[in-house]
Amino acid sequence: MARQRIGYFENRQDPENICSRCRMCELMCAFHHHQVGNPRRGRIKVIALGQGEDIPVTCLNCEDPPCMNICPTGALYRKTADGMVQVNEDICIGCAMCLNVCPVGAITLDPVDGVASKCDLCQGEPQCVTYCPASVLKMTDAGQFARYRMKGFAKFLQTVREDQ
Amino acid sequence: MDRKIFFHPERCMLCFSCVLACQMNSLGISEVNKIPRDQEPFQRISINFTHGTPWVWKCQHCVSAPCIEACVSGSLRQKEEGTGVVHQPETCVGCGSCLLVCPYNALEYDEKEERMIKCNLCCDEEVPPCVKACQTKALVYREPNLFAWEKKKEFVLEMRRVREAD
Amino acid sequence: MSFFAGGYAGQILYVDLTDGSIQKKPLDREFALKYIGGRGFSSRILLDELKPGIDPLSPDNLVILATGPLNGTPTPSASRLTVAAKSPLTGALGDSNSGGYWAPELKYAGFDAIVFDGRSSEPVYLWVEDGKAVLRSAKHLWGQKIHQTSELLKEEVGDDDIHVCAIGPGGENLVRYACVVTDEESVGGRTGVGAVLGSKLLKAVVLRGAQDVRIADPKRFKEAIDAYRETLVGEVWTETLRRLGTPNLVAHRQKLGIWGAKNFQRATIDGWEKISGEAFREKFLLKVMGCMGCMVRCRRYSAIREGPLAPTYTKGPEYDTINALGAKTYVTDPAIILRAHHLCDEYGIDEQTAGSSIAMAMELYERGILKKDQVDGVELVFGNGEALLHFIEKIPFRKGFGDLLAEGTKIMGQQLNADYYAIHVKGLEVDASDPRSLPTRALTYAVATRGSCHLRGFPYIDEFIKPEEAMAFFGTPSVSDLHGLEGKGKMVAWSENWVTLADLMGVCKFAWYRSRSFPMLIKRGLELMNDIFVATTGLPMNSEELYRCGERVYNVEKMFNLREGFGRESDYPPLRFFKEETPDGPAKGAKLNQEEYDRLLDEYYEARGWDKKTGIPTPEKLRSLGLP
Repeated sequence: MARQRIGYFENRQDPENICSRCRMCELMCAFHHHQVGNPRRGRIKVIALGQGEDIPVTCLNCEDPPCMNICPTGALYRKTADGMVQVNEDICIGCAMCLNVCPVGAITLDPVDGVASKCDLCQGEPQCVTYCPASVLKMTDAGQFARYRMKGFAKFLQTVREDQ
Repeated sequence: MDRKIFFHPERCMLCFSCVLACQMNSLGISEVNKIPRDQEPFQRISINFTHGTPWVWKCQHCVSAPCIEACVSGSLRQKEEGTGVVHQPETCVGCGSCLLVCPYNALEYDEKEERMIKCNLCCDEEVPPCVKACQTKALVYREPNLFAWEKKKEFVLEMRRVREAD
Repeated sequence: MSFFAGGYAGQILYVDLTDGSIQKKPLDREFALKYIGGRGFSSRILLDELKPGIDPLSPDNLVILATGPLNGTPTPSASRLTVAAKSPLTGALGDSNSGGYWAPELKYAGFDAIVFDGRSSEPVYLWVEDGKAVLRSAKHLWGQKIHQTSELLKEEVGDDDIHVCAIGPGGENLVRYACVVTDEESVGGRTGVGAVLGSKLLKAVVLRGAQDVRIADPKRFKEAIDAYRETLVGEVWTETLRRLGTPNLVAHRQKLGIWGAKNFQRATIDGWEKISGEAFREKFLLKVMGCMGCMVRCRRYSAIREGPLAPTYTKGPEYDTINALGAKTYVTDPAIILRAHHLCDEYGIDEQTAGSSIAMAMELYERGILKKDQVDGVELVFGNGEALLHFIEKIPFRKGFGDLLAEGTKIMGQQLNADYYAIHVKGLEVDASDPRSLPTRALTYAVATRGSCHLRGFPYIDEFIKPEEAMAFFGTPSVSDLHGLEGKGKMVAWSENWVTLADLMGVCKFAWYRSRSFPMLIKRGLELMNDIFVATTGLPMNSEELYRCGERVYNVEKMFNLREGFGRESDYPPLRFFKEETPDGPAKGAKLNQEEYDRLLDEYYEARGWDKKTGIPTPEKLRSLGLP
């Protein structure tokens, strides 16, 4: 199976199928991992750009992960099931070098424990996907995401051709 | 959470201003032409190459620092408030156990004083001299999760640029 | 700090703006068990610490920002914040309720509530981060509108990821119905709490929090919220709210003919389709939005992208936006309504009172009571959208006629000798609908403890309760008779105690109280809510005790109002509803009957255990609630 990640799929033609900034993903992520209410301990974050643009961001599960490569203790490793990079909290020393190198800022330091904190796909049943009311979060892989964008682009080309 | 020093390699010009600023600060000098000629000050921050990319090596002030566990004299401890590994030179015996376990080789041995040297985050400074000296903002002093958040925002802005180009 | 196993942060922040001192006081366990949170805390503190008769704009007033135990947890829609003070608009108890993300963030920042006292000598803002609070100068922020205030604060703090509760020029200039706005979009609108902040020279309260809101029994909590969410799936009301937002009510008002259009001179609106929920969705909706943890997502995010009012990007509109700025003023241009709404949010004034005040002025102008030179030379007639926008810009700065408009309809009525045209209860303008054909609603609006308000009670029970259920629960099947009045006083009283719970917990009523099944009101509103509360806090509680907390808080609020001089005579709908018949539409000819209303009010007081003549709670009633 190709390496899994959480992908953001919106339909800009449907006002109900776009991120609503309800931040349920953040809340349930933190609750699942720490049994508390504290979205800053969540491993997914909704970025508000203003003027109605809100997009959740989390780990892309890179093929060649800079975080895993640079970790000096081996605390970052890949799960066998879905290939997701995750943190062994017992080994992590909280040096934040993974944080330094992540290209999208998906890995953070837990504000309470101080160790590295990142998406681990919730052992197979991602809570953010289950609880998102807009249904914009789905488990996916890089190939699927590329196909999704290619489809969108193909539809766009179709409209261009029809205009002519 | 306490701020940490983060490094953007793509902005680094290899000017070594950070190294120089740290050394001068540790000697208590504020002007470059006052650096004593015969002294080779210790580098609490240094630059090395990793696969051809410049990288700044310094103490990472780890939350579960291995050096603190390894220290035989109890000279290494976490800051009172917040996070940061503080070294007390007075009680240090210079055994080098900390250097053995440190993944970043962030300590040096001072032969004259027979003790270890490391970045003590210039604890009283608003912004550490190394960060202040960097002219390209390759070194930034930022709260870790804020640093991550800014990267998320940049990523999303980039995705939006790509989408708008469709 | 008092230790709670979950839910509560365990401490309340007290800020004396006169000497700048800041204290953290532990939240008392017994206090939490009696008053739960939110409106419960603020109403009790206001009753205890305010002397009667103070000027709401003086340093003696308190302003309290209060959360409930469920704010900050993944409880569905636990996003609501209560901001309370003695109201500068009414002189009675004042509180506003708003959604968004600020209330949860206050919990993450380590506090259950913040109480402000005194008055600062210079503009300040309060910065709260992870259990620590400090007052900072807001001189550079004073005068700024809401968005700019946020931008400047983000720059100053060096962090975009903060949550700001601010006032705009409206609050600074003591517009009596100035509001607070959190995160630039969630408005704590009614009763003028923003003016109280303005009178204290408090520009903003800014938060950043990374602290846990603990949950005592996580396993039970997850079961409870999943069961709760289950009851919202397929609920007709929540589906409608998601699709159209509260503007879905536009069609309903037209169908029943219960608009208060043209300052309650018209009950139907010609061209209402232009300002319906469907119209706004088609023309302006970018996407639906949800407050913290909400699966309903009733908020709109709208944009005007063409025409003279472009570009305008704003959260909204709500039904009340359309009612106040469109129906009352008879402005049926949706773009103008949206633009006026956006301006109200940016300047920090309550759109409902603003629209009502302008509508009243329009009627007075058309009747010749106000002359053109008194209203800045503007042709202030109903339907004049330009005039609406013109005065929305003047009110926040008290310029020209905007100065009188900034006082609200009650004072306008007094100053212009035109009380009859001021449509309010206790000084708070009648919103929601024209209740002349729905006396139970009239009662609900009239007895609400903050002035006319449709959100204190739930009078719609008689639309769907079955006779057997009415018999079993209220002791009379007549509660299920939609057109009868018997038993309705009792029904309204019960509904008020019950509805209060949402404001105590910090959850949104739209994800809590709507159903077409009476047993569901009990199941979701009381039993499941109790399950969530117990699982979160670990405190001993049951449905009956929880209901009693609602009743207790309501009685505390009544006591506050009585002490300020609001007796039985203040629990009446406006005279106009008794004197004039509904002029047109499906409810044509309806008006309130004085005798009927008196009987209804009697029954309500009796059901509440309050003296029929004065409205004062009897000693037995108070004792049964553990009061005073």
